[in-house]
Amino acid sequence: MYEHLALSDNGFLFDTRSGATYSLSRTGTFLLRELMRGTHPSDLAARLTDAFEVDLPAAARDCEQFLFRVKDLALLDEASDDDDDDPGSPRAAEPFGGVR
Amino acid sequence: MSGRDDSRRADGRPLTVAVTGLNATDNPGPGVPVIRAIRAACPDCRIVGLAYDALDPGNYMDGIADDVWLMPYPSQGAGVLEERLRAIHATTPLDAVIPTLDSELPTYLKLVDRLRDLGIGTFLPTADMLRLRGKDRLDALRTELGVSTPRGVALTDPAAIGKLDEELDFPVMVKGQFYDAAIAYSPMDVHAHFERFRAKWGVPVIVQEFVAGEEYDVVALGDGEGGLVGSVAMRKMQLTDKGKAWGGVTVADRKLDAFVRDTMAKLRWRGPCELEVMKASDGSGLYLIEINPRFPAWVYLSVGAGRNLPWAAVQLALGEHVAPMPPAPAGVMFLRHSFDQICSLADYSALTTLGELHHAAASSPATAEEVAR
Amino acid sequence: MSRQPYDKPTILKHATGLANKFGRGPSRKSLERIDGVKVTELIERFGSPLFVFSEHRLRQKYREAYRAFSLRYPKVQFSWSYKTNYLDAVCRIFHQEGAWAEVVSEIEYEMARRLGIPGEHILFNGPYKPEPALRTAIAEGSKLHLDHYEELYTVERLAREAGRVVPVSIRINMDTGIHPRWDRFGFNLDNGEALDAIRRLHAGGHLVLEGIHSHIGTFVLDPEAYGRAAAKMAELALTVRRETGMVVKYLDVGGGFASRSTLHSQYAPGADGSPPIDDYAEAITSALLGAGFPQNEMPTLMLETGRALIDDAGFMVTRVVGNKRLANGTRALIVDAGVNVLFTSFWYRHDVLPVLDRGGMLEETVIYGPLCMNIDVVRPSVLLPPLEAGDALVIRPVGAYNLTQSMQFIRLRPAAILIGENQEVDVVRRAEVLDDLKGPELLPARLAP
Ligand SMILES: Cc1ncc(COP(=O)(O)O)c(C=O)c1O
Repeated sequence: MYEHLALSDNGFLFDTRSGATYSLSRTGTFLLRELMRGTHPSDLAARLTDAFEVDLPAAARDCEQFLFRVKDLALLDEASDDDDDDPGSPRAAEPFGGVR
Repeated sequence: MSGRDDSRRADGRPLTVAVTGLNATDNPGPGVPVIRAIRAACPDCRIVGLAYDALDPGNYMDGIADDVWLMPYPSQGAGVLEERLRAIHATTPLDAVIPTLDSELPTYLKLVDRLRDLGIGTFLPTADMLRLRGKDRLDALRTELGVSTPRGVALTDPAAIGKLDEELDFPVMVKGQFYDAAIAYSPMDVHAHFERFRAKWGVPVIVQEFVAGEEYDVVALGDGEGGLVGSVAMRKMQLTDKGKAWGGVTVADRKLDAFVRDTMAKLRWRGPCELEVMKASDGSGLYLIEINPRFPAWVYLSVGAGRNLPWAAVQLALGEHVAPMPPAPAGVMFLRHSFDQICSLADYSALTTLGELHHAAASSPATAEEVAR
Repeated sequence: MSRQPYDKPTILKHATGLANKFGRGPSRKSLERIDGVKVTELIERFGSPLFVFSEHRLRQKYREAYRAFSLRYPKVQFSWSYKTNYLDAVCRIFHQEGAWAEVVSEIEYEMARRLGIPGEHILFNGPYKPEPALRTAIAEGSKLHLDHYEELYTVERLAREAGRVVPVSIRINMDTGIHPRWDRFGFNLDNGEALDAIRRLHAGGHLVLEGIHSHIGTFVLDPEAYGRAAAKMAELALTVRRETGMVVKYLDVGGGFASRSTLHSQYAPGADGSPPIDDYAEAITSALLGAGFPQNEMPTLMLETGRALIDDAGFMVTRVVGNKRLANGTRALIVDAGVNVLFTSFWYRHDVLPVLDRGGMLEETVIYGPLCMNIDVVRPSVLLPPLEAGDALVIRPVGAYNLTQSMQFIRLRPAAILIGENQEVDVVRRAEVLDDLKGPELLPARLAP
């Protein structure tokens, strides 16, 4: 569900499907990366507190708002049926080949 | 000139010049042509591009900037700009900076002394000169300095429109204080334009006698003491839909050259400028219509004409002497074109997230790690 | 593994033409202390929102302005423009520095008298001075600045009744090349009305012209406009001297110098764009020195500078009430100070600085006040880091006009404090209580609950 997103470590996001680009804060990058790895949204806050100096209630609140933003930006929308699962369709051409 | 290698400083570091205005769009800023001109004279100089937008095409063009830094908008003030320049200077020591945009000039002028203290040279008009070139002052240039400009008045109150014909001959040009111009054949026309321009640009609205004739654009560099370092006059051959030059040819006209020399002397202009000059078709002579206090976007033509004015500006900014150049030859032509360049998304990502992009390795002495980047 | 410092998770879509972000390196501004005093402590002690004034800045600005003029011209007198800010503490600071009072109503007149200012050190301006106020002003010898003919006739009658010759000044207006032209106050110079009024008061025999006053506008960014005004006033004074023999003792150029605030329409921040006070001083004094007054008849130069003296010395401390994301994705903040106490937000782009920047991405943010009113916008757009409810912000400069023009709309007005030169903190106006609002009301018995 996230393979259309190319996220660099410095917080630059390219949506290969829509062509839109985004900037994310460090924690935003972390959270989106977690989502892309398959972390369940309800586990995000715990991950955040493991990695960053934030308490659980604040993390939970911030995650909730972040998830809403991500949803609002339609980043996670399912691809329409006809354009998916075509093994021949190229994905992003190594979008961050040059960026660490 | 001296036999030393212009592109190196005493410490062996390449001469490093920062240039703004990389917006090489369909209404281009002068940064890219200024950089090309500097490169033509100094292939080994390090060029630092100062961009206001991650999407300025000049950021990505091959052989233009070695480094690109995103800059705060001038509206954020001199303090913020200084802070940014200091940060850049700390990683890439700058020898000179050439601002090329109208809107940033007042802010850079505030920093001239501080930049000098940091060892960064500039060669810019003074704040007083900037005020003088204000459209509402063109008439004062005529009355106070004897520069030939069309007669004009700066209107703040529409009530004065009725009395215009006591001072000016119609038709007249009505101009917004920043942009826009329209011809008016009667006070009634002036009224209509006045209201429109006031709503858009505020007051004053400038009314000038209309000069029918041929327009010439002149790029000039003044030494600030009344002398002309060099100039190139151009007649537009092709225009964009906004009326900007998209092609042109140099002209050699002794009267025009003398007019430019005389005007620059009266203004004691320091630094680059573009003069818009009308040659009246009624034979009444030449008139200065407008002064833009920076290089025009067509300034690369000066290199073609053998009068590399941007490079001369860099030398002056470095405190070097530049001998006055003879008038430019006629018949050097330019045509602008555009092409689509493939850019790296990674470069764009670097600019948006880090605010900087480095096409070249860091200047001396570079560590292996830096080179590896 | 040790945990990393936290910032708020943020995602920003790159819009075409969006303001640039220049990565991580923008200069981030925050303001933890005002004159060395911690803002968070001020909030703990006095609540939020809170007007904060700096005595140090007030005195410093005054001295700077006084020096700029007095170095260039032999006789200079400032009068504090009460309407700009008539907190007693503020007025007293300026009076201690040597300023007289400039008032535009009978209650301002009373304020000045209560603060110990003698009548002869009060300049009385304004289009409406009720007759009893005029009587008091005449009796106490204050400097009356006549605004229109009716007033001239009234004062003349009062002088006749009192059986004495009363010195007066007239306010004039004129074209100084700026727009808008404030021609609703005083007598017009350019069409001859001003000279006509002077001839008229001279002919009456009960009034004698003492001064000429003008106030050409406010936040006037062109010092040359003052040069032109001063030159025209001087010329009028010399004409009067020639025609009537009356020697004009003072020329009052009013107020209107720009502060370091920034108009919404201005591109560069006011701190860069506003001329320094020296430029105004240079324009005015060189016009006066070059006007051709005989050496022994140089008029006193009066000034009624308001905002330029106080704007920078005033801060509004406020707290974040809530974060919001508007439907179009714009970030919004609600703060506890609204336009009812920040009236100047309608014209000026105030600095809004977080007291503490915890890091995180800067984002264009609209700042709303707490009023349940759509117009309650403190800043339509300002770059701010993520902030939490309860975080403090400082809005500046707000020293001029905000307090005097504030009103109790929905909310009561906040306290004002003064930070002294030694960082002592005093409440100079307590926060209002409900009775301050409801006290004057009377409820008919038949409507009693
Ligand atoms: C007569 C008069 N004097 C002085 C002032 C103070 O003006 P400013 O605060 O612009 O300096 C005003 C303000 O409107 C005024 O009306």
